Amino acid sequence: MTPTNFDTQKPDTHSDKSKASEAHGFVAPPPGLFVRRTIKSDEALESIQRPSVSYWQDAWMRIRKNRLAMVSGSFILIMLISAAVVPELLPYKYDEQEVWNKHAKPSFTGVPAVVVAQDGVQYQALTVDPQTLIADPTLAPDPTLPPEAPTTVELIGTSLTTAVAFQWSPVPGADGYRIYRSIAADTLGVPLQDLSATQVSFQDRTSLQAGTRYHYAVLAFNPMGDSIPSPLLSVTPKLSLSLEDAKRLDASAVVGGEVMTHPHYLGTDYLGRDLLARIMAGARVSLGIGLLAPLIYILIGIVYGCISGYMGGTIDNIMMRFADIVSTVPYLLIVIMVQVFLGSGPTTLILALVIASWATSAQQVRGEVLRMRESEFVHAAQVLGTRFHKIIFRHLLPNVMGTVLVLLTLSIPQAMFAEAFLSFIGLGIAPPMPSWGSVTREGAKVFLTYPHQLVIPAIVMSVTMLAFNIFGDGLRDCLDPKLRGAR
Amino acid sequence: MKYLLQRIMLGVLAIFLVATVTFVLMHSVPGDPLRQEKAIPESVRQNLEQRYGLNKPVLEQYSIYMSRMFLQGDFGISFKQANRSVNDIIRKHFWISAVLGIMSMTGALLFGVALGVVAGLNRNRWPDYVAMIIAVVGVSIPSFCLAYFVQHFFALQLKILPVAGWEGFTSAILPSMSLGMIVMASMARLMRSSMLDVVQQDYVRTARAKGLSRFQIIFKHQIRNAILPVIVYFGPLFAAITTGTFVIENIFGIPGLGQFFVNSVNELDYTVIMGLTVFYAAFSIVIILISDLCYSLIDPRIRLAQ
Repeated sequence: MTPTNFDTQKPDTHSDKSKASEAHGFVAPPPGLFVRRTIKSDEALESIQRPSVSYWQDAWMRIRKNRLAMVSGSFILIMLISAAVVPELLPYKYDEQEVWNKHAKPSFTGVPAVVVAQDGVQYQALTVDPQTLIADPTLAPDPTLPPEAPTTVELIGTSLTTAVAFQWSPVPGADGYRIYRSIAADTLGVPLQDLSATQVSFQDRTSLQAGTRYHYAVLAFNPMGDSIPSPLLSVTPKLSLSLEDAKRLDASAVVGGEVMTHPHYLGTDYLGRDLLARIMAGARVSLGIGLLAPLIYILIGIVYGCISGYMGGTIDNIMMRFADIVSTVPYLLIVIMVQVFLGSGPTTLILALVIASWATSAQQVRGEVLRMRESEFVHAAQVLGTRFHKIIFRHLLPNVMGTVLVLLTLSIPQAMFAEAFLSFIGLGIAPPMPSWGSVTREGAKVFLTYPHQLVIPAIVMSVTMLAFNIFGDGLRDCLDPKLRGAR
Repeated sequence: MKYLLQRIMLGVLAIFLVATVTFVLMHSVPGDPLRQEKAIPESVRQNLEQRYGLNKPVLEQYSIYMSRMFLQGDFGISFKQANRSVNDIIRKHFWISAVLGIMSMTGALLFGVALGVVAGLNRNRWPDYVAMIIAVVGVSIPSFCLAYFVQHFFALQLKILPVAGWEGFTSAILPSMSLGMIVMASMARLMRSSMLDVVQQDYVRTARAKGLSRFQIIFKHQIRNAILPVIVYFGPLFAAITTGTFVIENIFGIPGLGQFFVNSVNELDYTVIMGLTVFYAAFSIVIILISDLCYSLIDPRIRLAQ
């Protein structure tokens, strides 16, 4: 054992020796605790050194201290993982419709549903003979006046979303009855049907919304006019599904039994598609475009910018003038042109974004390369006779990497924004495939009645872009050499 | 001067290229603007083709189109809106988009610079944090989402501003707000970092040593110098905002130029697409050139020739 410092000392020998010394009642310092150091020079003694770290280790240490950037980074990671995993875990796909469940509110529990036969609930219409009602001439109504209103309206059986049946007391002198349904207790709402005077019951077979309260009223009429409305029949129908729909939820469903529907954690959209499934499937598209497009155009930018910046002279001039021209064209125009030419789809969007944005990143990389080219280490490499490609790959690229990485993280929210914007105006992803832009677009259409359909995807999108922005800022702070030692 | 000429030449070349690429793309897209739901008789079709010059060879169409556009400034007649010239569409509707753009940019500049100055002067204190939270959040909310939220909140809940339409100043507030938010946020961030640079400069120390009041130092020395880098970004942002108004115009029912552009793309209205594309490109190139020139005028240290 040749101890030169404390770290090389082995702990097991230490404990053995201390036991031995305790037995003698005298505590001798274990050998190796005190070590004679040979000091080479005064300078080595005086200098305060910290462990030497590489550029990337240093950057990692810095960004670890930036708590906000770390939170954002983890959020992005979680978002990426859930975009990959969540759509597989959900019991439904993004384009699966539940026609009975449109515009559902967010809920964590399923709803019990009654299974009914394919052709609905069996129902026997109740009839009366209008003549028997006025058998007693003293009760005969005044033919110059509108009839009286029915005095009672009664529910038949239970109210279901596929069938609400009810009967009412017949009115003497009525030529027929008119049924109204409303979701507000103070208005009559929409007239559903006119019935003849013989029929005194009705079954509403239009598919209703579960959990909504409906108010039915019956008016009797004759040629003199309508009666006042009958007392309201208010029902909250229970969800009922046809056997075919129920089989998709639970294979063992039978007519008359009950099944539980799947919970929709974020509700459903206007076609009864689950919003969570759509947002998560949309995350695949939006994040995919947001990550891939900048990756491609920044790669092109690196190659173009490096060549242009390093070559200099006429080649640089021509290459940069070309990039100038491309970058002055408004990006929306390029995107729409490509869109017109190739039709809509994720690939088109990526291609369009690449064509529109590569020039800007090439200009930025070139600026950075120009700065590097004049630095001492490149001059030194040139003097030593290093070959062209080696200078670019060993000396320029690693040093440009920091700037490029920052450029990349800050380009991602921009590309996501562009995708959302284009899908929002209907030029991006084609339905039924969702992207965050198209989900918000669909939510925006029903914003006033069902605000959550816009608010939830908008929040998811904004928070993700926020996370990318904060992470990019944090990355720039820790990679930017100008800020070295600022904190 | 030589630089200016070079820039103008480059701009004209860029417009020329944009026009050519648009022309080529438009003529290689399947389908044509004369096709309608009903099949039209061959004779009618031939007449229409003659009227719009579609029966000539593509190269001749190209040279007619280019010479008309560059020599006479004539973009042609719309295929879909009978007898309406593209110039007329631009004349009637562009100024609405431009006014909206100018309003949102003015608001964004004022509030963005103010936020940035407050943040820069109070580095790492609560006004800085508040301003930067506003700035980062502002960058992250897409303008169309913001448009729905401000419309709902200010027009429908509080009922203090009109919901939509284009009548008078009040109806332009909400669209400008949703349009300018992103610009405002990025201006605030730029202004903050440039204020932080300026605060350390010698001339600020000199001004303080001379005994100038805090107000004078901030307004005459710091802001004046710090605003320069912000102006560089102003031109490109302005061009982007005026061309990117379509969604906002759509949400707030403003009869700007954006709807014509998107509709013409969907209807394959050749002349309108080409005319508006070239117009937009020319507009943004001119704006960027002007902002570069302004920059060199304001800051004599910048030499354009570089």
